[in-house]
Order: sequence, then C-alpha cells, then structure tokens
Amino acid sequence: MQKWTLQIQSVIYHNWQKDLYRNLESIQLAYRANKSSGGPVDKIIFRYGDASKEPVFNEQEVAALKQQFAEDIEIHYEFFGFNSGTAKGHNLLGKQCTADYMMIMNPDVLLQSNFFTEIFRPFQNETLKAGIAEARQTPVEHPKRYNFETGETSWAATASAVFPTSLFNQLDGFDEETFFMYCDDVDFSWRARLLGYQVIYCPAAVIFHAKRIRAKGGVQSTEAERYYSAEAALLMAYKFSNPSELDKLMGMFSMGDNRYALKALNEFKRRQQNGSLPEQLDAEHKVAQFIDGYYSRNRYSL
Amino acid sequence: MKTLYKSEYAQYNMLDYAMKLIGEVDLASKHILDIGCGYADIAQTLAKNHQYIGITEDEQTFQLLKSKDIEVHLYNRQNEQDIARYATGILSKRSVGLVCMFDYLGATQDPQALLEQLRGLCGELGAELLLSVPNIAHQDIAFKLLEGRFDYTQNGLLCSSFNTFFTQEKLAHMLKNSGFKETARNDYILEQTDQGFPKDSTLLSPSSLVYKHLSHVKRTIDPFAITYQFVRIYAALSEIKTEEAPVTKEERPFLSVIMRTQGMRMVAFREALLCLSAQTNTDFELLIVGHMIDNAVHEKVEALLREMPQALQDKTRIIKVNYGNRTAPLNEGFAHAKGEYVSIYDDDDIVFDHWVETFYKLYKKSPGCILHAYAATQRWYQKEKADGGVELSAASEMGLEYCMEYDPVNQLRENRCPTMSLAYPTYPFQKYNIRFNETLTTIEDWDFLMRTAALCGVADVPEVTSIYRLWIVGDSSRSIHSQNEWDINFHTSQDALDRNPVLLPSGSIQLIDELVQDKDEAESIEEDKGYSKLYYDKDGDGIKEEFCEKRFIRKARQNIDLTYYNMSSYPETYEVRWDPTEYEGVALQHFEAVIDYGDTIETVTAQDVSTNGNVAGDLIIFFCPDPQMTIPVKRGKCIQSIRIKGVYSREITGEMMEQAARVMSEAQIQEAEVRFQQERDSLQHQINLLSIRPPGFFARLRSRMSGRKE
Repeated sequence: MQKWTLQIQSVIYHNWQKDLYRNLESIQLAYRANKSSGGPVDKIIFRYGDASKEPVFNEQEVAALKQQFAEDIEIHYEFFGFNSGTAKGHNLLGKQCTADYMMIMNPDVLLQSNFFTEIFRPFQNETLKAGIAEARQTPVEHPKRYNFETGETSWAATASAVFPTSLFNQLDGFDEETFFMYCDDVDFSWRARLLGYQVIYCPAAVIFHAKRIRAKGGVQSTEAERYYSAEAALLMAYKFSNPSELDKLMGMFSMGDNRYALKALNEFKRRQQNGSLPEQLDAEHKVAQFIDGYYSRNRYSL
Repeated sequence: MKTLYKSEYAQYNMLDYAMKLIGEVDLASKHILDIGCGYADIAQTLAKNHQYIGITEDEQTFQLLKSKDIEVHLYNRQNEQDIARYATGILSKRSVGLVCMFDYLGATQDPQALLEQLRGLCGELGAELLLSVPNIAHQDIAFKLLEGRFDYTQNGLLCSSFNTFFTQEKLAHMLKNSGFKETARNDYILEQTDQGFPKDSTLLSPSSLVYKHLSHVKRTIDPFAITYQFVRIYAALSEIKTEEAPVTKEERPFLSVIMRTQGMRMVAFREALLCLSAQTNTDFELLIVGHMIDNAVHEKVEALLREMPQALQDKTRIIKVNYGNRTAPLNEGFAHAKGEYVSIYDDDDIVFDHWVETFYKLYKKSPGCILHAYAATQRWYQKEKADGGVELSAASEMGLEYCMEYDPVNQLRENRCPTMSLAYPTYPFQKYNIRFNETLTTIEDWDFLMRTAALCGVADVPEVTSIYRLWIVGDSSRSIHSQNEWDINFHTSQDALDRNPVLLPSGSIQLIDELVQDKDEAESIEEDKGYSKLYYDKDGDGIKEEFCEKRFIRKARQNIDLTYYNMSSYPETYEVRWDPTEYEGVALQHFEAVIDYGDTIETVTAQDVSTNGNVAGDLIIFFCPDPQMTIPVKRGKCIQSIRIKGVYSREITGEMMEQAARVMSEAQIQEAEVRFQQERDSLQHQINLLSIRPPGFFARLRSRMSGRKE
C-alpha cells in the first residue's frame, strides 16, 4: 500500500486545553491503529494556528505537548496574534505544508480509530478522481445527498476533510478575502469540482463533532454561526453566479427582523459599494447548488 | 420473660417452624440444650421427643418444668457472661447436638458477647445453634411508626424485656461477626401480628387502600416484610470472618453505563464507544455485557476497546453472560454496577457529549429519582461495501416523539423512554432487589421502569442527549419479536402492575383530568358507539332498526341497571335483542335481564341468551365489534318492561382473560379472530379504524391458555 505524509491543521480560538489534548490523543490512537494495520499514513505533522487574543498554550506547555506526542505526531504551534478566521488561518498553515496531503480539522473533534484507513480510500480508488474526502460526523450527521456507490457529493465540510496538498496549491487555498469562517469549505469544494475533481463522502470515516440539538428540533447554533452563515450565504450566491438566489436572500434579509441577517446584508452592500466582492464563477451552474438554504440536495432536513 | 402456656401467643406457633428445622438435624442420642427456656410449652414439646436440658432464669418456669420431670437448671442472668462455662458444668460431658435460644438473644445484655461464647461452646460440643428472633422490621411495626406509635408488650414482636431488636441485616451481621454460618432457615411468616392494634387503625386494616399500598411497597423493598421471626440454624466456624469493607465513595463513580452487546453491529459499537470517549463528564464506568458471545466475538470486543483512549479502557469491564434472553445481561450489569446511577446504552445507539453531564446535573437537583432526558429517534441504514466493510448513514431527520417530559399516566400504556434516556438509582436494584423480569422477551425495560418509578419517581430535563437508532435494514428487537409477543409481554406486565395500588406523582390529577376530557370529547364524536340499544321484533318479521331504544353508557367500566319501559306500547313482542355497545373488546359480568310480562316476571342470565360473544360462566366477552345478545322472550306476549343489570367494562382485564381461558377452545378463539377481521372490514367505512385496537387480546388469551396447560 502506498504511504503518504499528512499535515493536519487546526485553527484554534480560545479553546480549552483539555479538549485539544483529547483531540490529539484521538489522532495518536488513530495513527497507531493505522500503523499497526499497515495503513496509508506514514507520518503526521500537526499544525496549530492560534487566532485567540492570548495564546492558548505558553512556551512550556507547547514543549510539553510536543514531547508528549513526539513518538507519533510532529506538533507545531503558531500564535497568529489576530483573529484570522478559518479561511485565512488555514491558508497561513497550509502554505507551510510539505506533506503529501492536508487535513483540515476542527480542533475539538475526536477521530475514530480506523479513521485514516477509511478517509484515504477514495485516493486509492483509481476509478475516482478524488479531490477531497470528507468524514462522517457523529452524533449529528450532515444530511447532504451522496452517491451510495461512489460517495460522490456536492461539497465537503472541513470539520474534517482531507485533500492532496497539490490541490490546495492549485486552488491557491481558501478564499480568505471573501469568507471569514463560513462556507470557505463549500467554496473550496466547488472550485475543486470546477477543475474536474470529485468530492467524496466517507461514511465509514467517523469523527465525533460535539453538537447539540434543541428539544423542539434543529441544531443549536451560536451567534457567530448565525451571523457568518448569513453573510456567507449572500457571498456564495454572488460568487457562484446565482442572481435570483441573491435577490431572494437580500429580500428576505431586508424584510425580517433578524439582526444577524440585517447585519450580513449591510456588510454585503458595503462590499458591493467598495467593489470588494469576489470574482464570479460557475456561470453555467455546473457545480453550485442553492436548495432551500442548503448547498446541496439533502437526504432529509435537520 | 414470664412463663407462657397456651397458643394464644404467636411465639408458640414458631415452634412448628423450629421443629421442622430440628427434624433436619442429626441429633441421634444427643441432647438439646435450650438456653433461656421461657416458654414452658416449647420445653415440654421438645422434651417429649428429645433428650432435653433447659436453662432458665425464671423461677416459675423452673418450678413448672421440674414438676413435669423435665431437666431444667436455674441460673442468674447476672452471670450471663459465664453462660458457656455454666452450661459446660451442667452438661457433665453429655453430648449435645443442638443449642437453642428461642427469643432469648434480644433479652440478653450483650448479644454479641453471648454469641461469641456460644461459638466456643458449640465448637467444643460439635453442636449447631438454633435461634428464633423476632423481626423488628415487620410491617406492622413500620406502619405503626407512621402513626407515631411504638407499643411495647409483655411478649411478642416488641417484648418489653428485650434490650436489643433485630432486623435481618443486623442478625446476619452479628452472627457472621460472632463466627457463625447460617446452614438452614425456616422463618415464621405472619402478616397480622400481636402488634395489630388498635384494630380500627386505617394503617393496620388489610382492606384499606393505604394498607395495601404500604404493604405492597414494604414487600417490594423488604423480603422480610411479614417475617415475624427469623428461625435459623447456624454452624460454628473455627475462626471469625470479618465483613468486607464496603466500596468507598472515592471508588464509586456517579454513573455505571451498561452496554449490552452480542457483537452483531461492531461498526455501530465502535461509534457508540467513540461517543463515550467524548463525554464532558467522565465520572462513569462502562460495563460491556457480552450476551451469548463466543471467544471470537469476545476478542473483537476487547480489540475494539484497545482502540479507545486509555482513560476509557481503565473504566471498562467486560462481563460475559451465557444464559437467558436479552433481559439477563441487564440484571448482571446492574448487579455488577458500582455507580450511584445506572444507564443502559445499547451498542448501536448514539449519545451526545453532554449525556453523562446532563444526568449528573439533574441528579444534583433531584437525588434519588430516576433521571430522564430526551432522546431523538433517527432512521439509519447499514450498507455492506464491496470490500467487506460496513458503512452506516442516517436516513431521516431526527424524530422528536421521545423528546417530551415523562408522563406518568401515558407511560402506563406505552414506553416513551428509550433506555439511554434514563438513569436509574442503583439502590432499588441492589438493596430492594427490584430486578428485570427475565421471563419477558420484550418490554423488559418498560416493566422495570414502571416498578422502579413507582418508588423513585422520575425527574426530567428537557435536553436531547441521545439518538435512538431505528435500523432500516437488519434486525432489531422490533423485527425479531412478533407483535403478538410484544402484546403478550405488555399485558402480562401491565396486569402484574395493576394488581397493586399505583403511586402517581404530584400533577397527575391534572394529567388524568385532561385525559378524561379528551376521552369525553372523543366519545361525544363517536357517541353512537357508546349507546346500548334494545331492539324488538313487534310483529314476527324480525328485528328492525327503527324499533329500538337507546341508553348511553358513559363510563368505560360501570354497574349498569337499565330499564326499558315503553315496550307495553307494543301489544306483542316476538324477539328482543340487546346490543350493549358498538365497541369491540367489551365484557359484561353478572348479566341479568328481568322481563316483566305484567302477570309474570322472568329472569334471564348469561347462560340463557344467544350471543355473538363468548360466554364463560356469568361473564360474556365480546372480542369483536357490534356485540349482540338475543334475549329469549315469550313469543307474542306483551312485555311491560325489561330491566338489564350487570357490570359493563370496555377493558378485558387479566382476570376476565383467565376466566375465558378456562372455558374457551382454540377453535373458538380462531372463530372469534375471523369474526373480528370480518367485522373490522365491514365497519371500515363506518368507524374510524384507529379506534379499533389490534386484537392483542387473542394473544393474551392464548398465553393464558398455554399457562393453564403447563
């Protein structure tokens, strides 16, 4: 079996150290399981980009962390000194990547032990032109539709997604000018697909991603999530050449009393006036999907 | 202790129990040494059949037994600490097979010291020790304490001469710590004791509801609730074994997670473990109970566990259970649990990261209660891949049918709480012996929940902490067991619960009131179904719909006494048919129709009518909709009135099932089933089918018939 080196990167923002330790421990266990079963990952380089106001780890703690996991993971820690958001943060980390593959990961997820074996399967399948492989999240699985035979799907969530470093370079990373922390992964996926790559969903590669659902249904979200998802929705509709979707969203955002939507709309208008909106893509609507507020057809609604 | 002669006092009856035990001891030519022989009757009975030596402190008893030529010795209780030496002295090397103390242990100054002496004595003599000791925890005493009463009596349970009172636990503890091992027991069981006064006390009246409830609770939690006396034989051990130290607080986790597995869904199992490794509150232990698993599966389970973080491995034990149905591993798991609480998390479900944390926070608010959080449901499928691997994927949105507060009334009808949505206090299981019923192949969790909730109550938190996976492909308990099996188990369990009063939490009256209001509204919609109708043939041309009188029967169960008067307006009557209702699943007990012909009165019973129901003695059960009874009348005579009496019920109870099962044949059940189906089909357009329950009562009936055959 072919072996690859992998850079895993996480942008952290005021995370609890214990959550980060637990995440690293799960990577270590998965890596060891991969090694003992002759799996595809030869070496792991782990890069933290800390976007917090104050460093999450001090120098001694970083040293201890590196030492603790040295046998299995080469850890790097960088304090950005500003709130980079995810797109810019991952670009900063990705530019330092020398590994064959990159994995974008939320810092608080836990990997299942067979994770690496499963997430690399699409890249070993010669019948596919796999660009990005995405993990299945538990306890709340994303409902987007995928091909049950091939795993092909619309886009990959970077809660945990793997792609060749060459693709990252080819795409010039994430669109950090347009997206702060939401839809950077949808944009990245769609741009990869415009180049002819497939996005492959891997239900057998499982990560635990802590989410909560409300007693009356629906996933609980934070204020930041509500604002940035609204802002990203407008930008995605614009960037992927869907004026009717954009009009619809702008109409909705202007009429409602949702302060996050109003704020997002104002930000979009500001960019419009400044001429800082992104270059438009996919004029022929080959990859982009805007369906009931989602970027894919879904198997069911959450 | 004063001398007693006659059996007016319950202690004397204890002798019957003791004699049975004595009969099992190989006494041969050995003596019985009776220390503290205060009951002359007992001494005389024993002396008749055995070589008897009594020791008493009571002068009157001494004189009486002496006069009967029974060997007895008088000693001073002040010398209690030397009783072994004293006994050795009077025995003069005679052999003794049994040392007895009837109700004497509690009267001594220092029972522990006395027992330690007796261990030496019994050891030297090679004798066993027989004790009878009144049970201070008898329910009569417990109930009287509720009234604020604690009545010493001259003799009996609360004998005024006792210095020490015993419960089962105290007796066992003391005997063990004195170097004795119990070898046989024949405890004296007595429900109404000498403490049953005042006679008119509500708490002591067996027919009162509160007595029934308290007695049920007491018997549930204390197997010795109506044990009047502990009557037991002990062997002296060569050394004293001190009791094991209890588990300390530090060693005891908050939650024991019981995960049943048969190794059928290893992929889901791995995910279930991942969810546990993500818990924000780690104060739990994991008991993986492998049920009927072979070594290969056991090794797979161990291998999966080795993939988990060390912290999770360290708090996990694997227990193998190689017997019973799916209920057995639950009992084993609960028995091994060290946690203060226990939750059952099956190996194919999912929990959120705050699952344990949510239970813990609720426990802090409501210690002692069953803890209940919300569980979402979701349909999942399992796909076999070409490479032999397995993929799991969700196939539906989250269902919220179990995301609601625990409803103690609705819960009586159906289980709305998946196992991992509940955490049970360990105490009732481990101390009150409330177990899962291993005869149940399904609904074992509901049955256990209802019995435990009746004691603990349920505290709620409106947080979704788990996902109950409903598998689209593959086996689940829903698909493995037939609907009939579910019905039988449910009704068996419900019948058992219904034999005793049920304690409902505060707020239940409101819930019941709402239910009754809903029911009344439903009844008004289907009002016609609730009418009983008397039809008559006034001209010999048969029953006609227009010649009918209606009476509404509102309640689901009520005594009926209905009189139909205006039949005299018809000069002749040829046939009379009474339809008690339109509903199926109806029973009529003690049916009687009194027909007044003006000059004569005739009474007709269930045995006389012709009916589409099934008659069992004075009970008629109508399994099918549209029940009918044709009442025999004198053809052509004028009827002044017909009075119909009986007990009407729209629920076929377990007792009625028993009655029907005694007389019905399989052919009759099959016939009723066919008729049910036919009636259901014909009524399809008239009645909302949702109101027709599935014919679970046929399964219940068959289960009782098979029980009868066994």
